[in-house]
Amino acid sequence: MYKFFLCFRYLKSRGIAYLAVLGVVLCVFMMVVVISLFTGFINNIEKAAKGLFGDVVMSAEGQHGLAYYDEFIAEVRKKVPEVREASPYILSYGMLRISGQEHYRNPVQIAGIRLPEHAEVSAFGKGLFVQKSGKLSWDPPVKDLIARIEQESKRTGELKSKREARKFDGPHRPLEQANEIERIGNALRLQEEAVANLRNIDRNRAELTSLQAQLEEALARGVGREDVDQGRKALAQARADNVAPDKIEAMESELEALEKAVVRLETIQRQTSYYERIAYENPDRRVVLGLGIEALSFRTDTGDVVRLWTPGQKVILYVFPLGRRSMDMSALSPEIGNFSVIDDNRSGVPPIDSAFVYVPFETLQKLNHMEAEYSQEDPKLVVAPARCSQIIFKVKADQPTEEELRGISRRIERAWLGFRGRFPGAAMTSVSVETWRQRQHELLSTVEGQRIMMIVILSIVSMVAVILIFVILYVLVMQKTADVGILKAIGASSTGVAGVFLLYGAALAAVGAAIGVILGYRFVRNINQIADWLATEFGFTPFRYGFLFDRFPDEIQLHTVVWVVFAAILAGIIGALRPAIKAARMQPVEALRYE
Amino acid sequence: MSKPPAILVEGVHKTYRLGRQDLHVLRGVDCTIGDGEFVAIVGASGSGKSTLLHLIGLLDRADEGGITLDDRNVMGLSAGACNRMRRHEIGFVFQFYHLFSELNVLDNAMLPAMVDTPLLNWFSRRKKLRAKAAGILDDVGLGDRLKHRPRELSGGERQRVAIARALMNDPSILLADEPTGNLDSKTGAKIMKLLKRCNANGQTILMVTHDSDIAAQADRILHLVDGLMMEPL
Repeated sequence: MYKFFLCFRYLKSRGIAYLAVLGVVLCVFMMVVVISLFTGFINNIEKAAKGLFGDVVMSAEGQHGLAYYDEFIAEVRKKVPEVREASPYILSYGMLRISGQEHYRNPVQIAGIRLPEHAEVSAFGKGLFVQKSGKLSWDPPVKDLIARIEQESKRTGELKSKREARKFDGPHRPLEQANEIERIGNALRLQEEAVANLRNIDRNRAELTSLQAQLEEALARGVGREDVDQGRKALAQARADNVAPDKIEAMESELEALEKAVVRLETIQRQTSYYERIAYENPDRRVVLGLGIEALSFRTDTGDVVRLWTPGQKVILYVFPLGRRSMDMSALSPEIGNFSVIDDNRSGVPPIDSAFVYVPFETLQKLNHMEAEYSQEDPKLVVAPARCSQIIFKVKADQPTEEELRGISRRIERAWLGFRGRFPGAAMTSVSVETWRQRQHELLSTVEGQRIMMIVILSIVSMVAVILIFVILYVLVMQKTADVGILKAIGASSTGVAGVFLLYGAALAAVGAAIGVILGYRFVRNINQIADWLATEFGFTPFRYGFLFDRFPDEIQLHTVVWVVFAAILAGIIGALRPAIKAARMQPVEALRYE
Repeated sequence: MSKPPAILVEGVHKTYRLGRQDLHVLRGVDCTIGDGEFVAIVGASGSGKSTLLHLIGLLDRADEGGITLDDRNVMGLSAGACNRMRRHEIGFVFQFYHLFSELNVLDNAMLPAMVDTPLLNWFSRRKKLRAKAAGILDDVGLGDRLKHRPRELSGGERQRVAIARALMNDPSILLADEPTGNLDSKTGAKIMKLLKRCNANGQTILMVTHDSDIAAQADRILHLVDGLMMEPL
């Protein structure tokens, strides 16, 4: 009993005990914060890495790719029922230019994807900005674009006023601050213009639709310039043949009506093409930008994204047709395509987001020279089949383990072996099937390395806590030597005396851990607000998020807290062990003499 | 049949090693203290008085000889048995009081009972023990200072708390090491009065002192000179 009692009293009344508690508080606080943030970051990276390429990816070595992909997908669906969805994918390289910006050239990786299929096999849909929900398409409703860009311009406006209101921006960077405000201002202006343009396009689209209907109707009636010519000829013939004047009159009025109809048809056709031109390129020529492509978006030093692209913005893609069958590098001249930007995508993996653009699968297939080739004699005879670079598979299980995925990979491989026998031209190079982990091995091993480093650093921190508790308890035991003597004189056993100090160490650690956990929890939960506040009030941006994520992960895992508290209490006991043994071994006579 | 002596010391030797020198403090001490006696041991500084008291109180072990407490040979007792003896049979009073500064008067007095009570029994016994400690403190004249900390008390009061603590587990033997050594004569007299009252209640008291006036108040005086017990003159 006296162990608890004395331990409690020591805890309450010792100045030095508060120092130990403070030490534990700081250690625990730091551990909770660092582990939570790091685990959050690592989880985000893993999630992003997984989202990039579905669960399992099949690819062919080199640039030749895989043919008969749709047939193979159908076969996999039959033979490997665990596969829920699959989609072909093309990867090529090229350069991006922006219409009207002479100086801008940006090397990019170009992905050809099918929508909405690609969103079914990867996390692509979750990273889109405009198309937040609904069925994804290369031709999203203009109303959606307007709504999103309106929201965005409101956000940019708020960002601008927040940035302008920042009180202190560091003494050395006035130019940087002015530049940033100017860039946000530009973005805001572009976005506002885009809203006006899109409204215009929306109106034009309505008219376009009605014109297109009229055009179809007129075409269905089968009138055309030839009909007018034929009518004229018939009229001249009738006049020459001296046909009755009432009949000629009837023919004349019929011809007049025909001519009017034709003129109208031509007007409609002209208007339609005009509207089509000003509204949008056709849906085959749409592009989704990775959010991070230079000059089309940027991040402020507080990590907020500012979009400089607006829907309908024209960009030019130079695609190097790497999929060409007979590769002659000296003859590799790029294919050029005009595209309209309709959306952007954030995968969460910075090197991907700053380098990738996404275009329709069939479009890239043509630009990359992977489309089907037909016989010159018989245009219906396929000489060479269309190809893709990869096939991405998504399995049915929600959280498949790596083992399960490897099993499925092997079954896909087996399916491929059978398929290859029946379609000998399906791949010209060797084919591999990998799980997302195998594919992202490099990225994930870097992350794993960082995780190990964090554990090492935190272990050192824990050692500091142990040593701190040890030193403080040691001092305390020295101070309490006489107490140890008394305790023994009134019959306390050596283990009992040791128990007082062990309990005391554990209690110091437990109190410190409790406070540290509470503080750490509050800090992590509010870390984004704290960072914002530091940036706005003091211009202090210690955590330049820069590239990774625009917000800090603010989740705390229960097991982290349990682990840290457990470790702290253990550290307290270990720290108290030596002083406790010293107290237990102390001779009561010596202890009593100690004054 | 007469009652066996409370303390029987036979041919006890004790040597301390100080650096390279052996210090033969007790050189075959014999003495007998009867049950209910109040005995004072006097002697010059360094004569081995406190060492003898510590050996009798089981705080230290003799090199040679025999010690019997209440007819029980304590020389070969295990550490656990020694602890039990100290808890139940022996009460200590020290010159420098040795109170816990973190605990108030009541808790200091109650400490031996706490040491003697397992955690699970504590809650059922707490009230009783608290009342007992308060009773003893009232007896020694500190009934109104229960919540005070030792630093708020005078030397005499502190020593009275130490005596109350020594009495808490009703020991049959009370060992006092210079109980008045740190007090003025007036306060010392009060403490002596208190000890005599304990003695009157049946406790055997062995007191070490170098003050002959204080020693004179005991039933019997033993002289320790250079580690040997001198016969009373």
